Amino acid sequence: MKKLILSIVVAASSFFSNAQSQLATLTAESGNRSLEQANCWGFGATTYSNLEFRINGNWSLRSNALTNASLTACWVKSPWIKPGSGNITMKVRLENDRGTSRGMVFQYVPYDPNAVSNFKEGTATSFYTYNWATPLDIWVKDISVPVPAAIANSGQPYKILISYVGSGGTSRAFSDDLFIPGTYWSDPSNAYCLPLPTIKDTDSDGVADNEDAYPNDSKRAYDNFYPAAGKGTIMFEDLWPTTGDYDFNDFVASFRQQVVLNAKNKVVELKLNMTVRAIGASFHNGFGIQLDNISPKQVISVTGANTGKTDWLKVESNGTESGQTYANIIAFDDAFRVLPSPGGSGVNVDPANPYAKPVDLDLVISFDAESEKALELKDIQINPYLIVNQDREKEIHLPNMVPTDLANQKLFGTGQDDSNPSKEKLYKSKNNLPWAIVVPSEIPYPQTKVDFLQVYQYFGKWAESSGFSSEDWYENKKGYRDEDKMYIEK
Amino acid sequence: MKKLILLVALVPVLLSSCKKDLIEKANLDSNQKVTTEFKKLNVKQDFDWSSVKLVDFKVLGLQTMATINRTLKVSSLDGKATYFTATHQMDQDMLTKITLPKNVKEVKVTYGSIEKVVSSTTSEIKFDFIPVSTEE
Repeated sequence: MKKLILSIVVAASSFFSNAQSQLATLTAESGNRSLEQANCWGFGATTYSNLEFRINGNWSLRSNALTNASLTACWVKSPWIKPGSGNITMKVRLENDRGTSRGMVFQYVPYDPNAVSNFKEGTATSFYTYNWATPLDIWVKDISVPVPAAIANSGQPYKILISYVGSGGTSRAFSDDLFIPGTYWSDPSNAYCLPLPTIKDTDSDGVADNEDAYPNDSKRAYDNFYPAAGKGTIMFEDLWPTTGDYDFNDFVASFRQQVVLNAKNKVVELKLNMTVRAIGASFHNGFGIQLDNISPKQVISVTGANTGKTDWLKVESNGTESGQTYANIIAFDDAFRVLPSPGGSGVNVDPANPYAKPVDLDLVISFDAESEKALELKDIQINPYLIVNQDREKEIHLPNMVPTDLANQKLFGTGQDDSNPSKEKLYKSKNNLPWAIVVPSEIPYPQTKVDFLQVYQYFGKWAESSGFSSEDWYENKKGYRDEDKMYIEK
Repeated sequence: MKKLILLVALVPVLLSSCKKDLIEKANLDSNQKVTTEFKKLNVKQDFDWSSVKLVDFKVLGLQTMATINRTLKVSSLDGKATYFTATHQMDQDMLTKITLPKNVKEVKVTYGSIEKVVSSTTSEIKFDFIPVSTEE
């Protein structure tokens, strides 16, 4: 047998238990009272002890010295239970025989939703008192107390409160093997361990309506966004492997990715909203994403891509690009077809030229969330890239992101590029500068030919300090940006 | 005794070393020459250009008497940005990855009505269900 045991019947509920009732045991053998507290037990001036006076196993409950008649001095309180019939049983002993009197008072505490306390406990009612015979002794006593008829099988939640009392001397009480017949009815996911709530789940997917992003759709339950709030910005220089003017506006897009999970945390869809904002180049660049380490076979379908008939683009029936080990989706093959020039050089980079309203593009990539190989959130790693001027072999990625199978790696190390896969250096120049930047915020970009550092005053400090300073360089704080040099979107 | 003396002798040296590092870092911050051209940036090869970080999110399960399934959420302290949300069975351990902006130093983890603020300054966020209170 073990020290502190509570065997109770666990509630049958789709949210809070298995489909069928089961017996559960809670034991002080954990040696860590906090674990029981997390399961909604309460303790007042009682600890776990492995001293020699323990009753069974390695641990027992040990009270402070019982020199107080107050019922709130030393106590143990059960979680909310729906009491059954039968006896509450436990083993107790005193640590020594020094003391005038020692006893235990058994009480039940009703649930009171109107109680002021966060724990919503009503007034306790005493139903049994056990007094040690005098003179006191140290022998183990078996206690057996009937569950009061007033609460047995009532269907209402109660807590059982056992108070230890006494006067004179130093003796403490050890307790063990506590058993309360009943159905566990506490919610350990509630900070105050309130009784299990009634939960509405319209689509029966196991996620409560108030926590379900899709309460009427059993195939979807959660949305995970990146960035977590608002949109991010991705910006490219497109002359790779040659460096350019570093205005980082050759292609600019805002984006937000949304990973839709079902109730089993499997990925149902990946949605990518892009807003093409600027093309500060004459190149007709394409844009794609690689889902690193995800096979194209895991994709069911792709919708929302804006591609025409081009020689270099071959797409499988599921919407992924042909000839790739990992799933690649070409969002568009020519930025100018998504955001046509309204006149002048480039689009939305020169204030003197007409403004073109940014254009949204919504990619939806669907997966089989029911298969054995269904993806999880951590599997989704998006690797975005630019396809330079209709040359499928020429990709520009974020620094240190891998090229796709269709990239020509012979271009590595040419021009100003210093990529060297064996040294895990990719898409960086000889002085370690990138051709693409991404930030988790929607930010303005420089006007044409304006150096990025002229707009973002703390970017250089951030980069040169290896990120130790000015991590917030992209935020819109006083003195962080030179607005005169930014392209102001209308 | 010898060990104690050695330790005492080393303390000023160690403190002095730490102090020197701090002073050098402060000087770097305040006296750093501002580079105004991108192409002239002096950047170390191992610099991570990303403004976000991928951190491990570890949940230590709690053995419960009933099977509890609720939504586990990681958010900003003001709750305006949710970095992760998924269902979680309370008695299960979990390890996943979360993307956070690098300037986020603390996040709020919510499960049911349990809320804890945890540090996100390292590459790992840890969460458990053990209550902070001592007597209830």
